[in-house]
Amino acid sequence: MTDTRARLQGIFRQVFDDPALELRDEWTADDVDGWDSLRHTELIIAIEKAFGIRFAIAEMARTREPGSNVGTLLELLRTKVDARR
Amino acid sequence: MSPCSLGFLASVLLLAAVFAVLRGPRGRQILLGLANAGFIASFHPRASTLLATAGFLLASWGVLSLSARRPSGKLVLGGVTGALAFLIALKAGGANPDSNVQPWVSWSDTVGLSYMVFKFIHVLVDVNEKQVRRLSLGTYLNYQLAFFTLTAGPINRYNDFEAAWSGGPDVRPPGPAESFALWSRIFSGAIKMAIVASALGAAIAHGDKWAGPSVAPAAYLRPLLQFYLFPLQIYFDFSGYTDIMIGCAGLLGFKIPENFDRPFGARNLVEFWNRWHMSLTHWLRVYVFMAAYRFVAERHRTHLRAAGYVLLGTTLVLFGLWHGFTDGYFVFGVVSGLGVVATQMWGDMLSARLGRAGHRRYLARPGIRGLAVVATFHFFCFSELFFARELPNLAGDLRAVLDEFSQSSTAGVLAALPRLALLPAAASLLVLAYSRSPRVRAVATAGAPSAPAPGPFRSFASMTLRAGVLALFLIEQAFDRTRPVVGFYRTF
Repeated sequence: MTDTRARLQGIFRQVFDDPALELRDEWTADDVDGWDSLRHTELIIAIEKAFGIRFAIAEMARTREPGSNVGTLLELLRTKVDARR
Repeated sequence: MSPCSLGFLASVLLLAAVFAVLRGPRGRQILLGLANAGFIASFHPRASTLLATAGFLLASWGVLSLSARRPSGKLVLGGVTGALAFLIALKAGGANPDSNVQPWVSWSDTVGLSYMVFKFIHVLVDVNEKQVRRLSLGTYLNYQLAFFTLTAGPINRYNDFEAAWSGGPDVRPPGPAESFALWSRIFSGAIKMAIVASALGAAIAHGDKWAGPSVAPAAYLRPLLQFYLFPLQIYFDFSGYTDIMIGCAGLLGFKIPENFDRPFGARNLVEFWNRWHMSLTHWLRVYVFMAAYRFVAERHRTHLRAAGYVLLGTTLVLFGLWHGFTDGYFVFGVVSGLGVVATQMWGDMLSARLGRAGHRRYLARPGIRGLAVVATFHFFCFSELFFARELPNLAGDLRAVLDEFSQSSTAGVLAALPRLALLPAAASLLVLAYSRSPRVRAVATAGAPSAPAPGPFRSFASMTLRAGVLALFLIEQAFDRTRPVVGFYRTF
């Protein structure tokens, strides 16, 4: 569990080019500078590569909608990682 | 049937009343099915048009059923290509103005087909990726034909529609306060469409005559009025329509997405397109941009960011062409695409040069913010010139301005300039003031607003006020039928 979170934080730091970024579950796209559609797609691609999973298009969209946050993304990621095991 | 008409409003009142007394999903499904059929019939479609629409719906259902049984990327590709080819053939094969022979089916006859194609693509992709919960023919047909999303969206998601359609425990008639609020929104939308948008349309058409030659020569004033008022006219017409439909859907237990979120308060074009015709731009962002960008990124590691910029611009060009295959819509798409790409590149460059913290400080400077909001508004107005007019007509306007200029004395031009500058100055100040209002600032800083729902008394008062204004207008219009109600939403 903690490992998934730590790896996700590493990916966030790399994609958003911010080595000091400390991921928080309640963060939305508005809380992270530069989290736009372009960067969101790059983030998803980086997560898919790192974890060897694939998001559906609808899931990609859902994780960047109003009301969705880092916690939602983390939960979805954990479900997918668990399903792969 | 115009959503501002008494006939439409009375029908919604009747529907909401029957919905409130029905128990269980079956009766409500029959009620909505009948309402959808009645709404389509109110457009008096030709048999050939109905046949083409039915053909599309059944063919698309066939593809969905196949995909649900055996998911396949090839089937998705085939389905999307077929649906787009159908759409392109309809839009490109319009009636020939030089011919008396009407085509078997033409784009102008159809109601909401481009939205149906987009909804089908959404369902197909999601079915293929096992993201759709329960797929059934009845639900799919009513999802496509629901009167509150048929003519001009908003593009809602199948799963959301299905949840309300199948009547889960949350689906119940709205209570008094919610009903008053929904009716208030419906009346507010009707006022925006029938009164404000119509008045703006009249000002564009006749404003130069109202102002008179003492203000400025008509050749100068007409394009300026078109420049500033047409975007507002579209906004009030389309957002009014959306208000009405969101209200109608709510009365029947459906929640459909918003389409506008105070777009004229946006500080840049990327933000603007997240707030204007939101359901369509969201659809394009997800099913065109994100899908294509991931496809490219999985195959190429170099120049990825450049590919992202190109895809971003291309998505906006497609947005323009979706409205129709005219040179004006194409140029509108290209101008919008270039604007968005330039905004994205500028932001990336600033972030690289100033660092994240420096970029944040830069964006927080009030002067920069004000300038950005005014510039964004003006850029959008500029792009809408191509949306509003065919290129030859635009060139004609420009020629008239140049002719007037060449015929006027230097003193005459200099005398007209200060008066002409009043309109851009007033528009800039208004946009600036609007962007600084607390509600717009709340959107800009904290995402979607979540104002507390007003109580029943306040909702009732608000509904009564709006109903009164609308009633006065409808009574006045009943005595003067020469003024048409603008229905821009019907174009697509």
